[in-house]
Amino acid sequence: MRKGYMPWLFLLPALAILLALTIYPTVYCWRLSFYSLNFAKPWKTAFVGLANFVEAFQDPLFLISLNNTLFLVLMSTLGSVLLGYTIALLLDKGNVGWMVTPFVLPMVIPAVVTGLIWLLLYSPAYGISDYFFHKVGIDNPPQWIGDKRMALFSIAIVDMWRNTPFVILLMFAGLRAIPRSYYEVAQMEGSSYLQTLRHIIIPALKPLLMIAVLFRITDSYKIFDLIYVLTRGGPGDATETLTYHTYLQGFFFLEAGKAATSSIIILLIATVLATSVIRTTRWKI
Amino acid sequence: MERKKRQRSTLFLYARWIRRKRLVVKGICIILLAVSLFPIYWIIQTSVKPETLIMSNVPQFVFNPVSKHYNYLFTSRQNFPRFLANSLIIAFSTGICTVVVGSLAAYGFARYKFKGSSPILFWMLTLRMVPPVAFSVPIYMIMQSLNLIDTHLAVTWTHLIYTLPLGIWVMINFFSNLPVELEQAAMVDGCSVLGSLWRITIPLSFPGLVAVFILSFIASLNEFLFALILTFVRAKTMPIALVTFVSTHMVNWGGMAAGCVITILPAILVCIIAQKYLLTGLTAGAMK
Repeated sequence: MRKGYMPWLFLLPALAILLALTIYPTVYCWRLSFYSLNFAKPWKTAFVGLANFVEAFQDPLFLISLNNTLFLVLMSTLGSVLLGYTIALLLDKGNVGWMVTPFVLPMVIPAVVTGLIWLLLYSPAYGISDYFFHKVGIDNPPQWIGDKRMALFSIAIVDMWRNTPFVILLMFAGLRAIPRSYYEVAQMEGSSYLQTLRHIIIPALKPLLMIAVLFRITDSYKIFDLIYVLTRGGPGDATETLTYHTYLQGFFFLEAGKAATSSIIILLIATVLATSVIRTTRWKI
Repeated sequence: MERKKRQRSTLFLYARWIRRKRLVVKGICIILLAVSLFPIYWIIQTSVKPETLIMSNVPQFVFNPVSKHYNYLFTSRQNFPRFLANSLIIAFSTGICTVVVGSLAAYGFARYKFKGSSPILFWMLTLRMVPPVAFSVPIYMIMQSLNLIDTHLAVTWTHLIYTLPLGIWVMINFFSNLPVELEQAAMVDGCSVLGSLWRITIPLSFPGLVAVFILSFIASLNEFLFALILTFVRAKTMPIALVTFVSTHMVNWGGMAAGCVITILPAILVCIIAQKYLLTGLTAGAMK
C-alpha cells in the first residue's frame, strides 16, 4: 500500500512553487554573473567570465558596502543581544512576565512603517530629539541620518529597537525554564545575585544565546527596507550595505551583470551563515 | 532581651529591603516598556494631530485630535483604499496558499520517512536566511518574460518563498504530535489517504493551520522589496504607497502617519487576539 512515490506527491506543489522561484533564479544568477549585461544597452552584452568578480573586489563602492554591512551586522547584533539579555533578566527578576507581550509589539510592525516612524523621529526639523538637545544646551545636536558618520549607527538603533524583542522572548523563555530549586540551593549556599548570574543563569542560557546571536546576525544581514526608507543609501554611500548595493546595481544603474555578481556573493555568505545556524541548533537540541 | 529585639528587627528590615528592590526593578521595567513603545505612541498621536502642530519645533503632547489625515487618505486622488485592498488580497491569497500547499507538504514530511526529507527540509530553512535582494533581479526577469509584472499573482508567488518554509516547519511540528493510529484506524475503515487527511488530521490540527495563516498573512502584508520591484500601478501595496508620501520636496507627515496606523492595525489586532499562537510561531524556527 505504501508506494514509494507517495511522499513526493504531497511535496509536489510546494516544491514546484519554491524550486521555480529559488533554484532557477540562482542558476540564472550564476550564468548572469559571467556576462556584462546592462538593461539599458542590451546590445553590448558580452561573456566576461570572472571579470565581474575581479572588478567587484576592486570597486571601492563594493568594498565600502561590504564594510558597512559588517559594521551594521556587528553593531545591531551586539546591541540587541546585550539589551535583550538584560531586559529579560530584569523582567524575570521583577516577576513581570505579562510585560513580554507588549515588548513584542515593535517586532510585528512592518519594517517600512518602522522606518517611517523613525524617519519622523530622526528628522532635524520635526523630530523630538533636537528640541531636548537644545533645551539641555547642546547647540549642535547630532544629525541622526544626515551625518555621514552617524547614519549607519542610527539605522542600527532602529534595527535594535525592532529586533530586541526577539532576544527578550528567547531569553525570557529560557529563564523561565530554569528550575527554581537551583535558585534555592544557591541562596542557601549564600551566593549573591552576581554569583548566581555567573554560575547558574549564564551557563543555562548559553544555547539560547547562541541561537539568538546567529538569528540576529542573519536577520540584520537581510536589512533592506529600513535603509530604503531612512537614507536611500545614506549621505553619499554611508549606509549602502551589500543588499542595498545589489538593489542599486540592478534596478537603478541597470547593470544586471554586476547585480548578479553581488547576488552570488550575498548567497555565498548567507549559505555560510545558514550552515552555522543549522549546525548549532542541531547540536544544542 | 535586647539581643532578641535586634535580631527580629534585622529580619524585618531585610524583608522590606527585598520588597523595595523588587519594586525598583518593576519600576525600571515599566520605564523601559514606556521608552520602547514610545515611537508607536508617537506615530498614532501624529496621525490625529493638526498639521501646524506636527510642523512645530516644540513637540506637542496635548492637543485636540483631528481626523483630517484619515479623511485625506480616503478621499485623495491617489485612491489609497485600492492599495489597501491590494495588500489585503495579496496577503489573503498568500495565507490560503501557504496553508493548503504547506500542510500537504508537511504531511508528506511528517508521515513518510524518505531519503530526501532531511536535506530538503534544511534547504527550506536556509531560504529564510537569504536576503530577498539576491533573487530580485532574476525574479524580475522571470516575471517579465511571463508577462506577470504588476499583477497580484506575481507578488503572491514571491511571498510564498518566505512563508512556505515557516508554514511547513510549524505544520510538521503539529502533525508529528498527532498519533498515526488515528489515521490508520480511518484507513482501515475504508478512507483513502487523502480522505483521512481531510477528515481526521486537518480538523485536529486546526489551531496550527490558523497560526500558519495568520503568520503568512502578516508577513505578506509587511513585505516590501518584491512589492516594490514587481508592481507599478495596478497591484501596488500599502507599504509602497506609504513610501510615496515621502518625496524630496515635501513630506505629508500627517497623511503618512495615518497610513502607517492603518497598516499597523492588522498586526496589532492579531498580536492582541492571538498572543498564544504568535509566541509559538515566532520562536518555532528558533526552538525546534
